[in-house]
Amino acid sequence: MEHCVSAALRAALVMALLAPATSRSANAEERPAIVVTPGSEQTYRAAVQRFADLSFFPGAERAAAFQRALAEALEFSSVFRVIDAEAFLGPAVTASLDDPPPVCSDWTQIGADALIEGELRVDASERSAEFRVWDTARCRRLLRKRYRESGVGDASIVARRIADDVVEAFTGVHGVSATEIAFVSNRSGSSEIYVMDADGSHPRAATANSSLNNFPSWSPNGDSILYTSYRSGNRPMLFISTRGQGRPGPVLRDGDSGRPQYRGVFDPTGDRIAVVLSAGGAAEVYTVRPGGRGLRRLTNNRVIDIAPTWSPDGKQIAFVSDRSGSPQVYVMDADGKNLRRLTYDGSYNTHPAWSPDGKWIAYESRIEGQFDIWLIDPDGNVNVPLVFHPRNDESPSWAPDGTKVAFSSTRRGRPDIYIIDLSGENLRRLTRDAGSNTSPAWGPYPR
Amino acid sequence: MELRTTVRWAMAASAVLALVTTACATKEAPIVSPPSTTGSEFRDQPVRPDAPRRTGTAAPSLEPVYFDFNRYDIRADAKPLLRSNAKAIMENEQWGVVIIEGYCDERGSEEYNLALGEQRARAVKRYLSDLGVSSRRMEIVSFGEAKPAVMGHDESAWRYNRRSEFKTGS
Repeated sequence: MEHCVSAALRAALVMALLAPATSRSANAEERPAIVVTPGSEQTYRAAVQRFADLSFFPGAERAAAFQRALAEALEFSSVFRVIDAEAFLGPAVTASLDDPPPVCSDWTQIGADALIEGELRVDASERSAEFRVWDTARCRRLLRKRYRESGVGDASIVARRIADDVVEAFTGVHGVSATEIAFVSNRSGSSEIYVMDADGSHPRAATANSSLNNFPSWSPNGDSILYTSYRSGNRPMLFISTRGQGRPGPVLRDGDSGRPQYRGVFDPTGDRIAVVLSAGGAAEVYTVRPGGRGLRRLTNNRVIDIAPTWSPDGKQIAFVSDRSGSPQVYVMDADGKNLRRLTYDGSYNTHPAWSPDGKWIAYESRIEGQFDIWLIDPDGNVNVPLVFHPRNDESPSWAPDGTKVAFSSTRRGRPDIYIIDLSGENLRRLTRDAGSNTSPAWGPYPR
Repeated sequence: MELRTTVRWAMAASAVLALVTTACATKEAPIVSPPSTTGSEFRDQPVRPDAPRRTGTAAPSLEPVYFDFNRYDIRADAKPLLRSNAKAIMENEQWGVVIIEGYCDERGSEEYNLALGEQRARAVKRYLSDLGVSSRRMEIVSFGEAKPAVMGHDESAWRYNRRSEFKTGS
């Protein structure tokens, strides 16, 4: 009881000490005011035990690698800082998940808010791990869960799924370390769609047709990627690729085969796709049902209307039009009604991306020849920069938890994919391979 | 060897048994999550050799024309070139359909540049059509900022990448 009280006091003290540092008052005059805050303002400290290796052929290095992967995935969230195992007072290795609760004071004394214990099994055809996580201050078990992944490969995917659960147990919002990001790269010589893990690891090609491929967009269930390709001839067309299936299929039906198809974006339910097609002299925004039926035109004029992005409730679409004489962001209902202009600052505002919580629309803005990522609320009341750099930052895409944004940037010369927290902190470069890396599309939570 | 394997099996079995019984006794059975789909592969196939060509052959006597940033109106310096292109197209029926390609420089949103490249190609087509070239002999396609004519990251390259080129199918 006594150690619980002292832990609460300690937590309050730590929060009080951290408060001035997180408000960033020291350099407020050097930076534009940023009123947004990340999904969780609090940082927790986690103690990660080395999991007991219950594999048929156990190996010390396997459990150590798993421990590192789990720590990296926890820190990826920006929510946890992982405590060095050298500092542990309690056991460094999990004995058994069926043991009684840990001695929580062993963990609160070293500053741990969370303790993660676990058991690991890696065999020829399966990687599985079971864990339990403790709120050490209240000495309460928050979760016990088991993951099993079939197939061979390293166990880091299991570690990332555990980390994302732990993040949710402490913040209420599921972590995103086990998600994927699609992007475009010309590393092979032609522009192809690739998929990588959210931390930039394991990049793998999703297209390999040696033509031009661009604008990947995920189906809400994460099974399919929609993209634009010149693979079938001298004209951009929309295709859809599904995991485990061989040949990508067209999105629109034969009747629409004559005109250029520039981009497609799934709505949040997967029931509709917003598509950009050339019609009547310029690109226009339509919606269509998967399978190609029910094509419906939403914009109707002779100017450019492109770049649709759905509100999370599927009721509105933000898009770009140059009807004012310069590209600006507009919002309309999903049936094309109630059109209103959203951006007024600057003469080049494009690539809107609606946040998963609906509160922000990220977009790219050109000011004095420099492209940056900005955030505007859907009512147009607050308009603040997220990423500001003398080189070009473009193509924002939200993580499914709404706490991070992926974008492409030329800050090191050729464009690479980066991610950043909504607070403007924890910038991280994800692509390190040769070539240009552009058009990130952050995938949904795995099922 | 055989004995060791048996011992291992026995240990593994008893561990599982212990786990199961303790879990039941303490009602601490974990939530079990199904395997994720993340990580399974997307596949593709190379474009078939008999598929139509991505681009035609550059027409030898048809000059490219250039545009100002974020504009698609025909510049004054492009008009004499387009007049001579119109004449050449009309005099060379054997070229068949001429493809007018629209391109942009690397700056700005790729999707916007795809739409802008279309506007550039369309403006050229309209100008040639006004000069008497049959619309049936012209097709347009935009590549946006893909396939720059000149590599580089300043105006010395950009001015040559904001362009419209001509290709003939034959």
